[in-house]
Amino acid sequence: MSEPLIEVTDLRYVYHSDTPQAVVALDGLSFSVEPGEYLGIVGGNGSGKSTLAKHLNALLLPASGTVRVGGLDTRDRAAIWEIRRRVGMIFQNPDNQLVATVVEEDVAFGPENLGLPPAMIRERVGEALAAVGMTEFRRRAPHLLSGGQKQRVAIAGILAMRPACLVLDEATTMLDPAGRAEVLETLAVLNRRDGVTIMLISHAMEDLADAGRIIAMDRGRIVLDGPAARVMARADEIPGGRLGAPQMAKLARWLREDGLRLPEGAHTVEALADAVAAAAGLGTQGDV
Amino acid sequence: MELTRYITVGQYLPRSSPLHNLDPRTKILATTALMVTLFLIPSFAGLGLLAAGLLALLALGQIPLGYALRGLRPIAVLLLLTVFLNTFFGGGDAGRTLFQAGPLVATEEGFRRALFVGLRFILLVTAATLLTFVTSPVELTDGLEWLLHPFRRVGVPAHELAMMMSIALRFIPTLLEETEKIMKAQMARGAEFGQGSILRRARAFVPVLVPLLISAFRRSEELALAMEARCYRGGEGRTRMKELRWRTADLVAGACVIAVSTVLVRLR
Amino acid sequence: MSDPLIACRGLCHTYLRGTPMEAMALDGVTLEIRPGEVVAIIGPTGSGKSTLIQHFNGLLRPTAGEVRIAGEDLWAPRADRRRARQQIGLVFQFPEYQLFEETVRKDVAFGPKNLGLPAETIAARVDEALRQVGLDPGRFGDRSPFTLSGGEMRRVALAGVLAMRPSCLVLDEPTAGLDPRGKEELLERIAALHRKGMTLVLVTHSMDEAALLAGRIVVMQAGRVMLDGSPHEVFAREDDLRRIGLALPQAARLVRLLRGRGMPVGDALTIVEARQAILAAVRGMGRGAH
Repeated sequence: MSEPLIEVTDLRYVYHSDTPQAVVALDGLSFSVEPGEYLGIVGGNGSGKSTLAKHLNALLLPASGTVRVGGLDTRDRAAIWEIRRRVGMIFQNPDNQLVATVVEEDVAFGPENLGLPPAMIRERVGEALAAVGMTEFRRRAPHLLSGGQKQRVAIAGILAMRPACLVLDEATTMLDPAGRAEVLETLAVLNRRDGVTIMLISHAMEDLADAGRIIAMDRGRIVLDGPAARVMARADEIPGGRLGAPQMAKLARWLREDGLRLPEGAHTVEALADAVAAAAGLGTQGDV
Repeated sequence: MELTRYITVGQYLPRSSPLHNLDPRTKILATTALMVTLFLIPSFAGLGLLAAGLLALLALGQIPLGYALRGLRPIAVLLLLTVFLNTFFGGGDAGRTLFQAGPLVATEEGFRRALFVGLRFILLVTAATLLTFVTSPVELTDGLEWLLHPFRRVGVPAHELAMMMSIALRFIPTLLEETEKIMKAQMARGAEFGQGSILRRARAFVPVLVPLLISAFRRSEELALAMEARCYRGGEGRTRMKELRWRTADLVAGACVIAVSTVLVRLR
Repeated sequence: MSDPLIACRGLCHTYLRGTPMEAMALDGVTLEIRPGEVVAIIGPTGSGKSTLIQHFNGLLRPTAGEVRIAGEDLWAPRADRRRARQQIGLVFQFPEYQLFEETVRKDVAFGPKNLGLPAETIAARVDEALRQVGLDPGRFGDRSPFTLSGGEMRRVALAGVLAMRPSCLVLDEPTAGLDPRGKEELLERIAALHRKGMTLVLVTHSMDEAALLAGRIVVMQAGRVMLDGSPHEVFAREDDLRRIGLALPQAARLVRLLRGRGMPVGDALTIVEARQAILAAVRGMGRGAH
């Protein structure tokens, strides 16, 4: 039985504590992440999802409760760099996380901080750029790349540190649909092919189509945690109402109300088409 | 209004030319040597030869001439001012009078001096931009850090200085783009730039500077977080992908610069 | 038929003309926008959408061709471009990053002040604009814009443009980066402005938003207008759209898939339409079977 990669127990965090403006951002969260999972975390503005993300690699430390990464407590000062190496973080604005003016030099930044020998850094930079399909851009200036390409470079910069887990904090929010598709495709490949654990944080359910499990957050609490299909189907019931269900999930619910027998979990266009065709007695494509 | 496209100072052009492949320390030292030489060159002939040399270096570094010249644009005002001041006040009383405008007297000697100073200024800026064209900021940083290292004992924070410079260079295009966006947004709300008295013009920039500063602070905060998340903890224990290594080419380049400088400084 | 509010003819724009970095962003765009229309401009990144809309209020000068606002040539010798900037309100992407004043009220007043209006008029317009975006002037007016949430800041920025009383609002990706609820709220505000007679031009990446709001869709590709027509006409050209990397709205993709599976579903661009089309088809098939 494998040990959980990340274990969050009763996590609480308060901004501006001990002042009249104190805000409880995280209010008793508990969950764990297994190696190889693709976990989606969804929540509206102010749900606490970014605060949670920053706890996963010790950028913030719990007010109470614990966060453990591979058994290491994030409050253990001695373990902090190993925790940050294991849990790599990609942020929302690609421009504000690229340090260097040449793609490969940026990807090398993390391994350089780890103090690896130059030959090994070179090897890892090459591998990381290949893994995200950006090898041909290695000598380019990042500010001339598209948004999706910049985020792929940022992902490569994390991969070069050989992390166990990637945490993406709203990393698709600022991208156009093509860039978003590009990044999501890269993540799916990394998860399936290389077994990288993915935690994708987003306010758009549509981004979480590849996730196996989704945690929905509202006002610092977990309101739903379960298989992706079930959470998507219930997105509209989430208190606070800052999350719309994906369009297809919404349509599926309407059609169910209209009397069509549709299974839960048909939240992509293709899945819903299959389900509707089946309910209408047509069978899936190929039977016709 | 397309700032990003017009300002080229400090912009690295990735190529694989002999200049790009030199050790950054060689390039920093050579540029410094050339700049000192510029101030010691006594004759137009010397400046002319140095200009020819810089042109050859631009070609060697595969830098389009137009791109390099564009870098001079932002300093044009400064350049004109230098030439103007020298024409009227630089020559002293010596030399034949060229023309007179009120109390201002332009002497031949003054004009010669103005041209000389102007040319020197242009060559100075070109030499500096050439360095940034052919040396990536990260290399520049590494080189500077190495060169400053001996001074750490007297309290010079070599790594921090170098890192700050590198990040500043990285964010120049981003902040220029942002300035342009904000200016356009305020123009869409009826703001006018570059009209009226200097005071009015300066005041017109407040609606640009405030959001620009706020955004720069936000960016630096996010960048600091991202760097920390990537295990950055200062210069201690850091290694480099590209090790600094002196090669034969560096020796040759260094020798060339010393030889050329020696000749130019003596040329009358 | 009414005169066009915005008319572009043979519009070309080349950045950095005569240099090695020359880049053609617009290549002969001819386009008219009439009062009361809601036009969505869609197209892949780099197709020239942003360059195009910056011509609508004279922020960019065409390298060839002309732009007329309410019949007036914007670049004629004595043209009044300030008036064009007042009439055509341009809201850039992430407009909250342009806020600068100490209070919400002062910030929204920036535009009217630039127009040189008297103080009482400005105050009235500021309150009106704040109400239009759903922010109570009493509650929000004296707060610093930087203490507001992202969605509220964006609405303040929108109010800043509305306070100029434009007859046309041009919005570049108005909902980018907002959460679903924030998106819904903002789109509802924008739709309400249209119901009161505002002409709208919407640059968007979201086909679903275009299908939901627009009466007409203009597709840009490589600096040219590739398609221009009603949503049904434009989204009927699935292959052309796919070729340039654009997808159909999700509802339209769904009914196409269903048709491929032999279900006689009518056209639909939004999920509301899709619900009706699917129900009608299921009922029709049920009758056929019995």
